[in-house]
Amino acid sequence: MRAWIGAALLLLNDPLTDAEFKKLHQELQPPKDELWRSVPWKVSILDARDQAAKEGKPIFVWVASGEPLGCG
Amino acid sequence: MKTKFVSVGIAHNGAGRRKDAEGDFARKMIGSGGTLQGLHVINTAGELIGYVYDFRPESVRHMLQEALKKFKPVEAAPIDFSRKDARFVLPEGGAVVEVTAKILGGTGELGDKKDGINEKMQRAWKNSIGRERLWIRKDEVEALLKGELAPSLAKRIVRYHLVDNTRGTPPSWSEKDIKKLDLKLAAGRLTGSVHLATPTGDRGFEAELLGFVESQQGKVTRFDLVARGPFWGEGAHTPGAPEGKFPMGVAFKLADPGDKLYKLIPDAVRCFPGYLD
Repeated sequence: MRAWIGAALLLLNDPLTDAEFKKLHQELQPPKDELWRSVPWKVSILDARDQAAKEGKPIFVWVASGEPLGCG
Repeated sequence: MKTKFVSVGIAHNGAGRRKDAEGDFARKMIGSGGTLQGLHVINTAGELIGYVYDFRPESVRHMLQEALKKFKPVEAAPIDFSRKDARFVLPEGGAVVEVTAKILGGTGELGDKKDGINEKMQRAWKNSIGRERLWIRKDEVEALLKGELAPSLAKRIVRYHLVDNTRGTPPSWSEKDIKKLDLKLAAGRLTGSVHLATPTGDRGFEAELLGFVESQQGKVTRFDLVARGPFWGEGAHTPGAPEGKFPMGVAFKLADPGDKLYKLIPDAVRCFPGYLD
């Protein structure tokens, strides 16, 4: 019930107050401890290739429609 | 993935479209697994060693383990990457802002299937955060340092970033969709409101905005902004929006140049020619 009241209030669309800004800005941040962020991702396949060549490692490539590391 | 591989993420319709050495190498391996998307393991020659288009942990783990057994380092002649496709390069002197979006209510109850993959997918969709990056040009940074909001920056924020990307790649707003754009910067406060709506009215966003811009020693040190209001409709690649109008929040926060994802290219760059105009 509280969630519905909250959602309804948000639809009224009064100007944002400083307090609401602070709360929403914080609420809209991604979690700080996401496991996928612990992988040392490269964003360039050529940078990944360079490092893989130096270290003698294979390259793991996540290919998506859109940037898999930062979109949607 | 952290120690035995060098890991990278690319868009087949982003890196795969670049007109430079990065694009040439990406196109060498995109599609080699049988579909455009998926998880690949390649060597430095771009040859496929492992592939799976299944994100279940056991499937990914099996593919990685098999790939490690097959992998042998090969000769990797240097690739000249001095010339880059300018569309995909953050302009010199520019700034990067992280953008996150979330539906704040109205998503309804979960379906009747409890537990299992279906409930997990529904819960993920209803709670997901859309992520993107905003690029700011050098001249727009200079305007911010003078306490001004360049009209081009205001337009870019509105057209490409006040969008619902919580379920996939969203459509942008055309010039015609901007019914009202009132965004001002004064004494470090960004305030305003926007009314966006397609001609048919099937998609729209009416948002109030509040934010703060600060600078020190000739650099922008804070660019925080929140847009909040009712959103409605969906795009071709973002099906499943809640019925009717639902509260949406979008937040902007200056990115940390030390973040290893700082140079990640905005999805809007690959989707929309003229993004930086």
